[in-house]
Amino acid sequence: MAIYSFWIFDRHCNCIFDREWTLKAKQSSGVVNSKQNEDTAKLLFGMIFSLKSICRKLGNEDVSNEIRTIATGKYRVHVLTTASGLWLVLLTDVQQKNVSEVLHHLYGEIYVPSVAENWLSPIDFAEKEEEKMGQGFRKIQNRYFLRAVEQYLSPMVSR
Amino acid sequence: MSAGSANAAASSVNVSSSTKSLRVFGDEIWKNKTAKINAELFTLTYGSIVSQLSTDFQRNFTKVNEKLFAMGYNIGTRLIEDFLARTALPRCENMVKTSEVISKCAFKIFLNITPQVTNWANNKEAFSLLLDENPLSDFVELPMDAVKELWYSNILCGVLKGALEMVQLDCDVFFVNDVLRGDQSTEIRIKLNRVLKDEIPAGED
Amino acid sequence: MAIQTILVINKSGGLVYKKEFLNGGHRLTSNEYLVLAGTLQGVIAIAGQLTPKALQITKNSGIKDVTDQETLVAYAGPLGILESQDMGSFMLPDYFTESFKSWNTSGLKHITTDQLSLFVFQSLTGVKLVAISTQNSISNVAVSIAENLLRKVYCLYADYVMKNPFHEAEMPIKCTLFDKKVAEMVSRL
Repeated sequence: MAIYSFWIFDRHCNCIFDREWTLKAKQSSGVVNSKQNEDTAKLLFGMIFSLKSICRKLGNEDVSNEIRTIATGKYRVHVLTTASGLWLVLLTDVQQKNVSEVLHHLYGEIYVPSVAENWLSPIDFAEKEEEKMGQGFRKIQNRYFLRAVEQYLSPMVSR
Repeated sequence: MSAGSANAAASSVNVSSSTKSLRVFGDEIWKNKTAKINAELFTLTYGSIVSQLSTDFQRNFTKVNEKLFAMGYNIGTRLIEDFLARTALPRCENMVKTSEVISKCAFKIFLNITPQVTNWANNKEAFSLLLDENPLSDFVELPMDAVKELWYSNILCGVLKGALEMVQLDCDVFFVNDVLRGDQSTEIRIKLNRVLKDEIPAGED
Repeated sequence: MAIQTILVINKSGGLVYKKEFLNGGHRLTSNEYLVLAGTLQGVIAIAGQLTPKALQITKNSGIKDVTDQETLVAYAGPLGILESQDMGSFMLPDYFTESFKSWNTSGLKHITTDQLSLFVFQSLTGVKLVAISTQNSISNVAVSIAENLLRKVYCLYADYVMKNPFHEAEMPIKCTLFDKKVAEMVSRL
C-alpha cells in the first residue's frame, strides 16, 4: 500500500488539514499543513466538489449518492463525507480498492476524540465570516491529532 | 491463433519497441481482424475518381492533385479512429516509431503493403516511404499530358496528413517520385513540422 | 453489470452523443448532461495535475515504476458478441482479442459512488467515451470489463460514425446504425 496524501476539508470549503508524503515509501518525508499545498488543495476540492454535484443528479435522489473513489491511471482518491459536512480525503496508489475503514478510523478514532471532543480545540476553523467559502487558512494544529495521524498512517505509507 | 500467442504478441508490442513485433502485430490484425474487399473494385473506384476529376478540372492536374489531397485529408481524419480502435497502439515517442507504425501497421492493415522506411533526415524528423507496390495504381498508365504533373496516388498523402494531424503531429506529406511517371521508385516524403502539444488530450503523460 | 448510460464527448468537451438504456429511474435533462460532459472534460485535466509529488519525483528520477503494468487492460472475453453477428469492417470472433494499453495514463478513469460507477475511456485523438453503470464495484474485473466495453463502443464509433460520410466531425452524432449497434452490444452484456 502506498499513501500519498491525506486531506480534511470542512463545511466552509476550507482545507483544515493536509499531510503529503513526497517521497515514495519514506515515512518521514513530506509536509504537514503546507502553504505550498494551498493550490493543490483548491484543485482537489474543486474536482471532488464538481463530481459530487454531478453524482447527486445521476443517482436515485431518495438515497444518498456520495462519491467514494475517483481513480486515474496513477493514483486513487478515496473520499469520506460526514453528515456534518467534513470531507476526509486520502490519495493512495491505484491498487487500493477500499480504504473506507482507514477513513472511518481517521474520523471516528482520531478526529472525533482529538478535535471534536477536545474543548480547547476550535471545531470551526473559520473564525470570521470572510474566512468561509474557501477563504480560510487556519489548520488543525493540535499535537495529539498530528501525532495520532502520523502514528496511524505512517506504517501504511511504506507498506 | 491460440490465446497464448495472441497475448504474447500483444505484450511484446506494448512493452518492447522491437520492430519485428510491430510487423507481427500488423500482420495479425490484417489477417484476423479486418474485413477485406475486392481489390479490383477498389482500384477501379479510385481510378474512376481520378479520371473524373481530371475531366472536371479540364486536365488541370495541379488542381486534381490538390483535390485528391483534400479528399484524402478528410478520409485520414476519420480513418485514424478506425486505426486506433483496431490497434490500441500507444502514442509514438518519436518519428522513428511513428514511421514504423505507419509502414508496418497502418499501410499493412488498410492496403496490405509494407512500404520501406528510408532517407531519414539528420534530425530524424523527416523520412520517406518507398512503395514497392501500390494497389491504387495497378493497371494504370498515365496519359502524356499527365505524366509531368499528376501525382496519381496523391490521396495517400492527404490520408497520412489528416491522420497524423488527429494524433497531434503536424506534418507535410508529399510525393517525391512515382513509377507511373517513369521514376525508379514510388516515394512519399513525410516531414514533421511540429508536435501540436496544446492539443494533446489531458490525461496523457 | 447494468449499463445505465453511454456518452460520447468530443475533444473540446462537448457532448455529442448520449444514450440511456434503463427504463425508469432518475434521468438528467439534456442540459444537465451537457454540464456533466463539460465537468468531466475539466476533471480529466485537473486529475492529471493532482498527481502526487511522490509519483512525479519517481518519474523524473528515471526509475521505471509499475504504472506501465497498471495501465495494461486485460482482454475480458467476447462480452456477448454473437457468432453470427455483423461485425462491420471487423472480423469475428471479436473486435480485438488481446490485452491493450490504456491511452489515458494520468487522467480521470473511474469514479465510484454509493450507487453507481462511471468509466472514462479516452482516445489519442481526444474523443472520450463514458459509461455509467448501476454497480459501484471497484474490482479489477469490473474495471477491465468496462474498458473492454468502451473500446468496443469505440470500434463501433470508428465504423458507424466516422465512416458515415454525412457525419460532421465534432458535431452531435445522429447515426441510427451506431445507435442500434451500441444498444445491441449493451443489451447482450
